Amino acid sequence: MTEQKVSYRYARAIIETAIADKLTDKLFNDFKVVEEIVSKSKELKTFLKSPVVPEAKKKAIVTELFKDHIDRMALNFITFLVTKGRSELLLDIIAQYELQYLKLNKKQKVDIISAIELTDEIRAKVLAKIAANIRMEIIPTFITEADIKGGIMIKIEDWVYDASLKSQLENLFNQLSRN
Amino acid sequence: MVDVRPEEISAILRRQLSGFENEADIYEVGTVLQVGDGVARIYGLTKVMVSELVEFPNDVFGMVLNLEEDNVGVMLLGDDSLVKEGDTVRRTKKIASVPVGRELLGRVVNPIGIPIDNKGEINTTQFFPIERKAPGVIFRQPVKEPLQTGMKVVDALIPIGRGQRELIIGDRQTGKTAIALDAIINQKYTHSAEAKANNIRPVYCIYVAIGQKGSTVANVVSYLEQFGALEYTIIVAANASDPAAMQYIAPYCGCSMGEYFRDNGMDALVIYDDLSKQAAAYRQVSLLLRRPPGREAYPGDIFYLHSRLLERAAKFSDAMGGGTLTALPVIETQAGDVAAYIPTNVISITDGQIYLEPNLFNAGIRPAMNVGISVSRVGGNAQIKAMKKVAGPLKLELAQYRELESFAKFGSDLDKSTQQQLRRGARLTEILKQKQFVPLPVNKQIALIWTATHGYLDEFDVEVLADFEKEFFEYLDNNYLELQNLISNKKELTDDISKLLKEAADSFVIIFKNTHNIK
Repeated sequence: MTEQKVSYRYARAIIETAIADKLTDKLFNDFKVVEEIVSKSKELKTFLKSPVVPEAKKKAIVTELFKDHIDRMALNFITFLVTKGRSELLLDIIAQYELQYLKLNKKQKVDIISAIELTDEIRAKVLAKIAANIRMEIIPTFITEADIKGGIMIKIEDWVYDASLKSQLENLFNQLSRN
Repeated sequence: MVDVRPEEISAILRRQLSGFENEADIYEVGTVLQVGDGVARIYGLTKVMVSELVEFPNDVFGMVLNLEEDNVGVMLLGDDSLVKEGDTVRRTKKIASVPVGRELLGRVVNPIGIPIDNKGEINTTQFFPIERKAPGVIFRQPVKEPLQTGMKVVDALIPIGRGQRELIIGDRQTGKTAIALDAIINQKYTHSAEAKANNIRPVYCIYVAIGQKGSTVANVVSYLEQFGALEYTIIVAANASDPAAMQYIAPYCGCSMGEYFRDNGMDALVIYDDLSKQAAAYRQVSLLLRRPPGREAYPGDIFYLHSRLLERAAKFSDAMGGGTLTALPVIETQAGDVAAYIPTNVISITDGQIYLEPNLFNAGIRPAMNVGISVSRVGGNAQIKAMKKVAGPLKLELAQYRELESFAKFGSDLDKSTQQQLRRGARLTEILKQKQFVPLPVNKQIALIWTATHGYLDEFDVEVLADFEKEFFEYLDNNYLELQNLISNKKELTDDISKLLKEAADSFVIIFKNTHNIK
């Protein structure tokens, strides 16, 4: 819970600095690279979390690791996190940054959940329908979840459009058991 | 083989399922970040409103109390072990509400209106939100009708009016609940045909038990049943074993049930037994939600907690139907400390208090009310005129008695008039004693107090006064029924009535002396 609060605040701070320097896009791409590198290596994740590694060593390793791939601002931010002892929150902060970055650029992440893989044709239809309802650029993620049995679920932030077979069966069950 | 045709089965199924709407749901969700001790923190639910109900899996509901920068604090109204971290929470867009109506009378329910007395479902048609705004000034009128508790000491000295809020305060085991129960039992009279003839409207009662033992509540129910008082009473029970959230909302639920009667032009009496436990439950929830603690670790809005509840007691103006809701909150003090936080708060909110003391209780003065510091700020206007007239001298003489009481030890060293005052005071104190569950109608109270303040008892020993009272009432019932009716009808102490009272007292004193061999 505290992680959420902390990472939200770090992300807000860095995005404000980036806006001032007009570097939000660059930073976003850099963060994507960092995210990719970190999520690939389990060892790196453990290293970032570890409180045993001294700060100076951590800084040196992080700098060496990222300096060829990312810009100065992103690198400085990561070393700053190390100084503050918050390096374990790196991925959380990146995720929060992404959310705020998308909001800034009027883009909206949408999760589309279906029981089976959707064909391109249906995907296009669904996206068109969503686009007609929200006036933002959509960044869709298609998820297959056999658990919902059939139909479709669309998640946008806190909102859920639930036309899944599972919830309809549940409603039916509730109605029958109530009588 | 049983011969059932498939068409028949599908026909039955279709009939059962007709009306089932196969529509897609749109709802808002959040995720449980943390759960435990009856509270949960939710991530998401960004649009949720404060005091809205939210739904957890396994039919657990919660009420939103905190809206923070990045999470929502919810108190759970059910078992917190059924909720796990990562569970999905749904908005319901509804505010917590309770069923209301006459159907609830005679039943024991929990704070959300679910019956817990094993007497089957309650089919109510109406729901009221538990938090309702108290009526404003223009909807009200001054308290002017009496709410008879049936206790001599209360009805004569600390009268309670319909729409009043009178605090019952005292240490443990001083008879707080006893006073509340007697007040409920005495309302039986208001439901009789006789009361209707005298223009006395029926009073419906709501007893809210907060944080009490299950056995204590069961006792209360059985007493009420035994005295035929359950049929016009609703019992709302949030026992000590229920979640703190339930104990916190219980008084509001009881109040909403009472407001149904008030809003429909009827009269209701609601007893909150007790609000100190409710405050403790609220403190628990608040601290778990990390609200900053204040004095005695209570949160900053503890005063508002009680003031908004008690402000809902009211007497409506005639234009609004003239309904009333009388509140009798109960507060338990620790070792007589009325200067503690919660007692001072509630004392300042209510229209007076009945102060019960353990030393009086142990001295056999029951109800153990300290007449000196108990007050009723508005009840005086509600007393019937006859009672007001007899209570005047009673108050005065008791006050003088209290002042002289410390001299009582010197006995014969005192002058005649002081001795007389002490004698009178002792007798008045004696006749104000009353056993539990024997409420007295107001006309009998008037007759007894009249005889006492007119000196008829001065010649008797204190020990025989209990017999005197009992036999006097029997005598009145047998010979002076018309006098009692006259008081009930006229509600004033006219010359005729005074004359009849004198006649009755004179003749009874002679009879009493003869039967008890007193010279």
